[in-house]
Amino acid sequence: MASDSPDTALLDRARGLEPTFRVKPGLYLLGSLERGVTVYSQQVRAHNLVWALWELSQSDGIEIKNVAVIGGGIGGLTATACLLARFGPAIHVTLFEKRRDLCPLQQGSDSRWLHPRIYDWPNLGSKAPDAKLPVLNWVEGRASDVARTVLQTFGGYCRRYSSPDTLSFYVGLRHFQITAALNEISWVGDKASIDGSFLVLHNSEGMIKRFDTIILAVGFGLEIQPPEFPLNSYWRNEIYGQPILNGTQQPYMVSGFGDGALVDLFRLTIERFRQDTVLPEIFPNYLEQLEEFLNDQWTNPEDNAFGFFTTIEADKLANGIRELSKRLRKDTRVLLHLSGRRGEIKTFPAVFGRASSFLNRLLLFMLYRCGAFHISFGPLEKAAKDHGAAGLNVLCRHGADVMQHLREIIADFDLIKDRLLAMKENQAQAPSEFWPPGFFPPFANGERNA
Amino acid sequence: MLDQVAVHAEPVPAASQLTVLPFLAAVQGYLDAKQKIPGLRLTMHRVMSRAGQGYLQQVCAYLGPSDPNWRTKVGRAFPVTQGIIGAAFKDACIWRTKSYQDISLLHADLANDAARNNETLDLSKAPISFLAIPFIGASDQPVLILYGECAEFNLFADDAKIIDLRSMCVDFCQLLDWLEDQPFPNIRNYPLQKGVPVVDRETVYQSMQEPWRKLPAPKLVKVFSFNFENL
Repeated sequence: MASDSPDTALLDRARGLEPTFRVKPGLYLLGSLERGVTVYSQQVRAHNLVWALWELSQSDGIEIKNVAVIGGGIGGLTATACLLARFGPAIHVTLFEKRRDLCPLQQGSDSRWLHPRIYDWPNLGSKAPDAKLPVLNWVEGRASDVARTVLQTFGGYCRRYSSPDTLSFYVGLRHFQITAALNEISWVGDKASIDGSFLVLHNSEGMIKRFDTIILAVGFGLEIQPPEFPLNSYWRNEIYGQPILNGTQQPYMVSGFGDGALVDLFRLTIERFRQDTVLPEIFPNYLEQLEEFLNDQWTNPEDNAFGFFTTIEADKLANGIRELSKRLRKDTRVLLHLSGRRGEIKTFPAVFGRASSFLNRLLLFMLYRCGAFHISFGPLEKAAKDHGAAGLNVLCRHGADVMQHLREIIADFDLIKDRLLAMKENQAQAPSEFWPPGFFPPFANGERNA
Repeated sequence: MLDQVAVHAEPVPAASQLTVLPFLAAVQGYLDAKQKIPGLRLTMHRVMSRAGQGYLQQVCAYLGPSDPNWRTKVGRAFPVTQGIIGAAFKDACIWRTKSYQDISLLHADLANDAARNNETLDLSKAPISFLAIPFIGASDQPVLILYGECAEFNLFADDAKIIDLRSMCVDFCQLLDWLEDQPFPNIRNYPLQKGVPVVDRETVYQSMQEPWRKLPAPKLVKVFSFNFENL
C-alpha cells in the first residue's frame, strides 16, 4: 500500500514498475512485447526501467554493477545512456548490437517519419514535436534525422559519463546466446569503442560472461516475411510515396492492418502524404474543434472504432472525407489485404480494434469512405495474383516476430516462455513518465541536447 | 536514498525559452534604467504537467549575473508550493517583498523565514527583494510566473514599480494571445495536459513576503498553457 511519504510513494512506484520489465531476476525486457511500440515509447520505458533499477539498488539492495544491454537501437542506446548518466563509474555496461553500427534501422532512413507522440492523437499535446526526454531527446523529423540526433547525443553522453572501464561495445555479432538461468551471455563479435558519435572497430572476440543485469531491447528488426513476398525492412528507403514516372497506373497490395501497413497504404493512396501535415491539411480550420470533440466522446480506447466513426461521420468527418477524396492518387490501384496472420479477419470493421493507432484508424475509415482501395480477406498469394500485384508491389507489413527472435537468442527459452507470454498478455509497461522530474543528469554543459 | 529534489532539468523546447527571454530582457532594462540593480536575476516559470502531475518548471535561464551553469537551471521542476512562485500560483495574485523601514528588520524576518524552511542563508549575500507575477490563463489558472530577485533594498516595495511591471506583463499577455493565432507557421503553442498539482511544504517567506492585490494579475484570454515548439 502506498504511503503518504513522498520517499515511500516513489519507492512504491519503483517497486511496482520493475516487475513489469522483469522476465526473471536480473533479466529485463524493454517493451518488445507491448502493443503500439514506438521509438518514443521505448525511450520512455528505458528511462522508467533505469530509474526503477536505481531506486531498488539504493533501497532494496539489488545489485546493478555489470549490465548487458542487448540491442543498439534507440531503445538500447537510451537505456545505456541513462545507466551511464545515473550510475556513473559504479557500473559497467556492455552494449551488444548484431549489425556493425548503432541505430542501424533508422540511419539513412529518409522516407520514414518519426514523431514522438502522434500515435497518442487526439490526446491534448500529442502533436507537439519535441519528445522532451531528459536523455537522448529529439524532435519530429525524418527517421534519418532523428537517428543522427540520437547518435550525436549518445556520443556526448559516452564522452561525459563513460570510460573504457564503464562501457564496452560488441557489434557485428556472429554468435550470440543468452542462458537465462545463469544470466550468462556467450558471443563472438567485434569489440568496438566510440569516437565522437562513430564506432571504431577493434579485434574480434569470443567470450562467455555472466551479468547481474541483462536488458533486452530487441526484436524490431526481424519483420515477419512471407517467403513468397520478401520485402525490405520498413525502415529501408523506397519510392512508394513518390509519383510513378512512366505514366502508368500500377497495382499494389498492402497486407496487414498495423500502423506500418496503414502508413504504407496512405503513401500509396494519398497524394503528397506526410504524417506530420495530413491532419491540418484535411481538417483545415477545425482540427482543434475535432480534437476537442474526439477527446470528449472517444472515451474507451479499447473499443473498436468503426461504429464510432460511422456515428460521427456526417457531422464531423464529411468535410475531411471530401478533402481527402481530392487527393487520391491516380497512378496507383491498391488492394488492402486483411486476412490476419491466422485468417481470423473476416470483415472490414474487424481491423478497427487496437491493432493500430486511433489516427491511422480514422484515416483508414475516411479513405474507405472515399473508395480509395480494394479489400481482400483471401489467401495472400491468391489476393496478390487476382489484383495483378507482384514482386516489390506487394508490401507485407505483418509486424515483428519478437517471440521468434527471443527464441533464437535465448538458449533456455522454455524456462521463460510462460513469463514472456504473460508479459505479452498483460501489456503492463505503460509508456508514461514515471521517473521523478530532474532524476536524470543533463547532457554535458556547453553541449547541445536536441 | 531517494532523490526527492529536482536536482536536474527536464527539457524545455528552445522556442519556449526564446519566447520569454526577450520579455525578461525588457523587464531587466526597465529595472536597470536609472542604475544597475545589484544581484538582479529574472526568470519565468510555467505550469507544466508530466504523467498527470503538475509542477512549476523554470522556462529559461536567469537573466542577470552570468552563471556558467545556466543550462542546468533551465527546466528544473518544482512542487507548486515552492517559495514565492508557489504563493503566486496558489493565490493567483502578485507576491512581493514587503516594505521595510530598516534593513535590519528585513534581515530578522528573512532569518526567521529561512529557519522555518530549514534553509541556511548567508544574510550578507542573500537576495533581499523578491517578486512573483503570475499570468492567469484562459481557464483562470496561472500559466506562467515571472520571478525576480535582487540585492536592492525595498526595490519591489515600490507600488509604482509593481504597477509598471504589471503593465509590461499585461502587454506581454496580449502578445502571447496574438501568438496563439499562429502567425508563424512553424512555431506554435502546443497545449499541455493539465496535471494534479504536486504539493510539498509551502516555503514562501511568510514574514517578509506579501500578496499585492491592488490590481489583478495579468490575464491571458486565449492561452491555456505555455509550450511553444518549432517544427
